[in-house]
Amino acid sequence: MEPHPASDPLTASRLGPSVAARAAARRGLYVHVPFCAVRCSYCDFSSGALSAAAVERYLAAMALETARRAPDARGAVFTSVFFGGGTPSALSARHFTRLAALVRGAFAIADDAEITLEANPESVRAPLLEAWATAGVNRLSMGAQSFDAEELEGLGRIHDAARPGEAFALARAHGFRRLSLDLMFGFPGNDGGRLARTLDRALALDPEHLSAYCYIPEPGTPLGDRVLRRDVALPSTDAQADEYAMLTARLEAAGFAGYETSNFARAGAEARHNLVYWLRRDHMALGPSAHGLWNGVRFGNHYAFERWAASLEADASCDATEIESARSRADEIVMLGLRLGCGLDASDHPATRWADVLRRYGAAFEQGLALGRLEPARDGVRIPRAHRFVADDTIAWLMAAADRPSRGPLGDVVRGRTDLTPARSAP
Amino acid sequence: MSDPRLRLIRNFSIVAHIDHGKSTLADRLLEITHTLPPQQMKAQVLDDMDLEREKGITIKSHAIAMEYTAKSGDHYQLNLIDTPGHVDFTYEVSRSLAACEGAVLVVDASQGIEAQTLSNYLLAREQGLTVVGAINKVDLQVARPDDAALEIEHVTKIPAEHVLRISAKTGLGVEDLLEQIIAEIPPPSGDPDAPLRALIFDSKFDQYRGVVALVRVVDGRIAPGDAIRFLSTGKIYEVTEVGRLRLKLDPLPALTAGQVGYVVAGVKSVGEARVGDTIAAAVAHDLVPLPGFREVKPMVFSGLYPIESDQYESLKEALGKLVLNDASLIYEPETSVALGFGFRCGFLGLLHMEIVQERLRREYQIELIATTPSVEFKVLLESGELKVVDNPSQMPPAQTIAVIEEPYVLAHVLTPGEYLGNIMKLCQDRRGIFVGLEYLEEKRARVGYRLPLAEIVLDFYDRLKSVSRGYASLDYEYDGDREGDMVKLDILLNGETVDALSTIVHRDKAYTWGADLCAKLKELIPKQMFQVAIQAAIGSKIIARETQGAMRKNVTAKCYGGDITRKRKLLEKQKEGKRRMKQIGTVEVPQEAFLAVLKVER
Repeated sequence: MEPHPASDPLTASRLGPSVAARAAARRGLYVHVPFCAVRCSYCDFSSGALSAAAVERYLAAMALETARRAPDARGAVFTSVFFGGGTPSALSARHFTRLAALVRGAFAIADDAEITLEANPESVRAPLLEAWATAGVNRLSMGAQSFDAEELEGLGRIHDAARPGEAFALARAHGFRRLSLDLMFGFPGNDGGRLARTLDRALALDPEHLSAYCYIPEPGTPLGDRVLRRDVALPSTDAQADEYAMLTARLEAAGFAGYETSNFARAGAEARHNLVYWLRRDHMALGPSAHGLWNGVRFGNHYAFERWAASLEADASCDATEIESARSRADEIVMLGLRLGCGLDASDHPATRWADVLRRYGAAFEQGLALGRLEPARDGVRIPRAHRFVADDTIAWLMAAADRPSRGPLGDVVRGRTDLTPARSAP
Repeated sequence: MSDPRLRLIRNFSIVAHIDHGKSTLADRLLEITHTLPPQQMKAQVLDDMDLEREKGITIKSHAIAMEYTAKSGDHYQLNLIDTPGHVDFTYEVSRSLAACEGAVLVVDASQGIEAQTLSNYLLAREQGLTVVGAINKVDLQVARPDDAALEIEHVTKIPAEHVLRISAKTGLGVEDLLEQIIAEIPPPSGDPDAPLRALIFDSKFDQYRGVVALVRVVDGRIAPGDAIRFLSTGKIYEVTEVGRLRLKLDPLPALTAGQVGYVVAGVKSVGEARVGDTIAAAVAHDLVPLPGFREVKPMVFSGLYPIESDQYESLKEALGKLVLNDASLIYEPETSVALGFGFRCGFLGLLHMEIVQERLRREYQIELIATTPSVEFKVLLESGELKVVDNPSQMPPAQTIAVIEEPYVLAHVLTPGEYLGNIMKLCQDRRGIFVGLEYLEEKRARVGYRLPLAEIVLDFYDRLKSVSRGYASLDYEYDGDREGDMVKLDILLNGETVDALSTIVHRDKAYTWGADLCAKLKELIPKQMFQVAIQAAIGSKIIARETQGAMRKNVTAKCYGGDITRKRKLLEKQKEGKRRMKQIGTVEVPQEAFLAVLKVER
């Protein structure tokens, strides 16, 4: 495909992520910490109650897993590490230091790596901040979800609306320069007015990065089950879409680029580690429920802490592996890349892989462009800004179009608004 | 007088309404005559197509030879010819009946006679068949066999007390029925020494033998090695095999006058061995063909298009295979602006159309879009040219048309008296012309209307059932063409005319029709990326509009490491949904939408 000039360079650059950020996200390492002080009513992540014995077992199993995975990663330098959960901030300073040492002892972390830790505002305290900084953590992602007391209670959060501000101040005082806030909208009881007030409070903390997720009712979680049983009502999809449009506009006006479906960043503050997922670069994964992509294989660890630990102690295999094919790779590149504000870009992928994408999707892209489902991007295509909340429809549409030979023996029967010349240009 | 050599043969068929137990009775007869070993018995054994079993109706004619030792000690050859059970196949039924000397009229003890049964009974009487009456399902609680018997007496003049009470399910009375068949139905007439004349009452395609013609030998004898001629086509073939019809083909040295069996003669397609045609010796001249042959003409037309354009060749091949076995199906290539390349197909009726589509789907795995069914209009242009239009998109511009003629049918509806008002209103609404009304008995009426076929092919039958709580039944026959004030109604999606959705309707109904169709399309076309304007138009004039709003949300909020494989699988599912839709301009149109016209409540 010929590079298209961006139709609106200003918007394009504001959408991000920048070329530099994409280039820097080369290889990631995910570490799952499966403990929480309290379970939130909406969360379905792998997590269990915190006890000293459980943490000891976790660290022992983690030692086994790092030893087992390290040979695969020999020679690989990681540009990002992400301690996720669960609640990594629930670990004591001593335990976290041991965990970080295990990881650093087994894998080569770049000097300028982005090292993120997910923290719950209520657990952010000086001793922990010191331990995190000492271990090299340079980015904190804080789950605020909302600044509305009633909403926080409904979500089962144990902090109050003031706590994230205190945590931010404390983190700043300890030298943390990259702080992110997680927000949620579209959950039962939430509405545009409350979201607007939450955004005001969030922006007042001046975070470098914001994630704002439309609530997903997960079966097996207390709130999700209540929604699925229709005990509580979700806002309508129209209301959720309106909230998304409002928050996008507010955040962009405040200088944040919506560089991914649910992620917004100030220039240069994109989450490098998450870009690894969306650009489909290799990532190693440790801990229960962690998923990795390494050397053409997607693998998933056992979801439950107990099974994960037991399988490592018995030297058994992880839960699931899937070997990629040219087709699954192309499908994933498209599915993930179109989440990005900048869209798909040839320069993000090795030439042979991009050629695979074009072989499978070239004609579909042309048809999508003709129909207005896609718009030209720098050297590829992207979802128009107005369609980002319905992006899956276009992704599924592209997958269907890719399966369909664009021209049968009798010629093309799909009519668009413009002439659909085949886009099978050789890479 | 029958030839004494034919004394021990009986050829008969069963006349019954759907669900009145015809196939079950056939099963029971096969069992009693030991035609099949018990382990081969299954329900509806003669209906060998899955579709027939599922729909509970017979689509193809079948025949089976049975042997029965009567109470007299005589050893009889019985040939049961099973006929299709739907108004679409009236001609096939008439030819099957022509192969018999008698018919068993089976009536459900709780339902009474239905229009289809009556119509087939009348066909049987026209053929001069002897009718034996039987009330079935007398073992059921709701049975009222005496009422049903009175009804049979009223219609057939068979005394009510002479009508047998049976239960095909339990076998009650079925032996008695066999005895009555032997006693009352005459042996075949016909002359074994006369020149060969055999009636083809059905034919099917066998992949090893080619066409297998099911025949009744009327005169003479037919044997392998004979040179034969099909009188309607004049074509000559050499017989390679004859035999009788058991569950499988059972070869015999010859078939003689009076016998029912099959003939294989190197015929390539069922179109060459047409139902109703006469087989004669190739050398015979001046032989009078057996009466009643006619060319079967399709009445309903629809375009069939593969959803995936690359399945065009497969569809072509599949239709080619279907016509090997279905002489009443016709097809020719057609193109649609909206749908691409497909085939214009002609069917005997809506059921036939449904069956063909279902077989293409099941037996050939082709996902189809069928365009709005249409009848065949005769269009006389101002220029004097006459055009036959069976595809609405081919209708010439209104200003060039002098007269449009549309086909009519003479329809008879049989109904309990209390629904008569509803039914007459329905017929009037459908532009029916009243013909007559008679009562079969106190509570059952038979009403006749001349109706435009176009008003019947869509949903008339369903409506009839709904306004009569399922009690009314319908029968119709072609009744010539009459002038009609017809207009072409177009449907536009986001401003583009979708030719596959055009219909030809009567001017008086165009406005309500257009509005109803737009509303139904709004239900059938899902919310999607872009807003969809659904408009109905006559010429350039928009007469109705609905708007389907754009989808607002379809996104995965979170997509990190562990979500990716799961998400890909979910998108694969969404993708499969999309593959069943047709992209027309900016709009994705699901299969069902193309048959919206059938789903409009009227």
